[in-house]
Amino acid sequence: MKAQDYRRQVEEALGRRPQETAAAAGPAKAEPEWPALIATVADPAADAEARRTAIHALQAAAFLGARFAACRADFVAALRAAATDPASESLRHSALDALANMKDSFARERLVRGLENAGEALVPPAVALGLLARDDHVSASSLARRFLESGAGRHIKEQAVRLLGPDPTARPILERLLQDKNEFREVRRASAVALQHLDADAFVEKARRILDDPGEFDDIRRTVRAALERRGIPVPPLRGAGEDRGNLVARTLRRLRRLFGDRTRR
Amino acid sequence: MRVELSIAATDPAGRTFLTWSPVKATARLAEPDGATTPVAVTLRNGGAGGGGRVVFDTVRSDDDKSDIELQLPADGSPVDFWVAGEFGHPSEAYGDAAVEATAGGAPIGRLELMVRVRKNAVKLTAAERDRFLEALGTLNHSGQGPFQSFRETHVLEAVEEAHGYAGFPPWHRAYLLDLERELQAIDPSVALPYWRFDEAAAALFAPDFLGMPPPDPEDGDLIQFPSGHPLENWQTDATQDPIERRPRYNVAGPPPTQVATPVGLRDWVITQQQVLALGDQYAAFRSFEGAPHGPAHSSFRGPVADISEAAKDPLFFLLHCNVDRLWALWQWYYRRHDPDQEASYSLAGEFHRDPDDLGHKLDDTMWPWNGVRGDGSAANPRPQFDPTRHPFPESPLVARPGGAPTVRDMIDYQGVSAGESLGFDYDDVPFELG
Repeated sequence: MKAQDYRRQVEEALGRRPQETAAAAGPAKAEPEWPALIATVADPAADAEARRTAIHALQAAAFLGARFAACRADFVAALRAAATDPASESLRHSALDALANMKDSFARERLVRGLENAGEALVPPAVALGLLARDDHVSASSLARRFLESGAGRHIKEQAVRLLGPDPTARPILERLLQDKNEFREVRRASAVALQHLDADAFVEKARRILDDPGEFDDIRRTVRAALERRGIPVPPLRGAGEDRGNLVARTLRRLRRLFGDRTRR
Repeated sequence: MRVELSIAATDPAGRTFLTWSPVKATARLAEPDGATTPVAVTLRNGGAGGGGRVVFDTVRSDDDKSDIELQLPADGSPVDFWVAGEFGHPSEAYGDAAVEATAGGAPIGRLELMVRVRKNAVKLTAAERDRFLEALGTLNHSGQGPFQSFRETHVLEAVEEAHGYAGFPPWHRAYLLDLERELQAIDPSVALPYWRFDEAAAALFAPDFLGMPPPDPEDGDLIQFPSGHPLENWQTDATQDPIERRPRYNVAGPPPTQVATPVGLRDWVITQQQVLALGDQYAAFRSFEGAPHGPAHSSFRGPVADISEAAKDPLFFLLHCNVDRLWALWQWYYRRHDPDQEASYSLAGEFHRDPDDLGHKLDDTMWPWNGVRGDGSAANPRPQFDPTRHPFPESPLVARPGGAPTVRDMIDYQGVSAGESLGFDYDDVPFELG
């Protein structure tokens, strides 16, 4: 299509010619509104949904950068108030999510307290572990181990594994989880991801054993296989498996190398 | 008889990549086969049906001729022509487009290439999607790859370089191009896709693309990738963060264009039409940083909703690719490619700061690519940590923008008003001269 023809198409869709100038979208009032929105977030008497909407609107405003800086401290204070609202878990979750992004110490302390004592929990344990994992793993590492040793659900354990990732003393736990065929498969895969970073050699050794084990689950083998391939480690074809994504990855990479030379990894 | 074709946008490995912007090329008789007088040679589109297509002219134009005739000297002297991808017909894979030379109807030359442009993420083929994801996963390399340097560039401590002022669009254009060039160094067939956030995009959040968290919010927001997915091992920071994100709207449709806030009904993820209608002056247009850009970020719960954490999530780059596409579309629609026109670029506008703020005037270099570390003084207010993304990566195809790009360098990305392009285009923004 020629550009001139496309221009006519766009003009018709817009309903005007380029020479006209108009602000068809709604007004943006920006800064003057931020204090009112912050006050709503902090107001325990305000509707919980209105408070959540105010949080989202302020998060959007924060992308204006330094212009939002003057409001940031008040925003954090308001979020802390919302994070402990007794009536609405979704409000607490939204507030804690925003605070966790900011590595807020109040949020961290309250999340840990909630994991230690269920009666003080502000959000479910999988959520709390996930929010803590964005910030400081040390304070929650022992809690994470406790959840991994318990009969906790799959998602809780996934988050707990994530928390242990940077902990050098966690290698034995991660190795055990990766190799335990009775463990949730998603937890095993999360352990594979965490172990790669923590101890690449240990991961490679365990991954090769998994690939050599015909009794191993296909999805576990796919995960470790793809990880080995991306490290440039040659892997044997999957045994007893048909076409799968791991084979597709390998074939695609081989094809690219044939076409373009070995430029597929830096 | 054989014709040799040579196109400027060819890398050292002999691969040619076109966009919609015309590039210079030559044709010459490599084997004249006894000819002593000039030979009439026709150049035409030679790609397979359904693949990329090319257009021609003897001068740099937007005339988009489907074929041209050249008189090639028998002594093998080259003759110039111009070639571009045909708007609306991008490639899906390398080699599905070609220039074919014929003489008397017989083929005497062929050059295969790719018309490589940035596309709507939900319109990628499965192969395009997978190539993009593989390159992205390789760039991240379980947290140990060059991606971390991108993550460390878009942080609160550096926010003034790129937000809340006139330089927001050009800085992010440079940031995206930097990432795209790194992806293309891994797989040159890849272009950065965009998330068209004002339209339904369920396919983008499918398990084989950027995924979704568990259905129950009580189970946390970790994206649940299938085993072997290229982003399964994604990690950033010393905390080894995988990807987390939960949409605050139903991804079967787009986010809302307006929301009822406690202070009244306000613009949210406004439509493309509404963005174009912001006005034909840059000062008015750049309010799009407030909406739809900011609300697109906070349409999710998770790091992507925070200015300092957002770049941990690959969705950030597809979101901003659409932001840049909107700017590109506005530039084309209102013919705003000349940076020296105030209508094209201006420090005026609703979001404003001190006009002397570094990084936003036309001839300011942009951090981090200028390699400058600030010292807290008024004379050097740049971020006070060592930048990790410098110099700006070279392209094997184009010389622009250089190692330390300025704001000016990022405005005329197609070379409409002067010079060559930056080497990228969007599937729905054509090249058109004034």
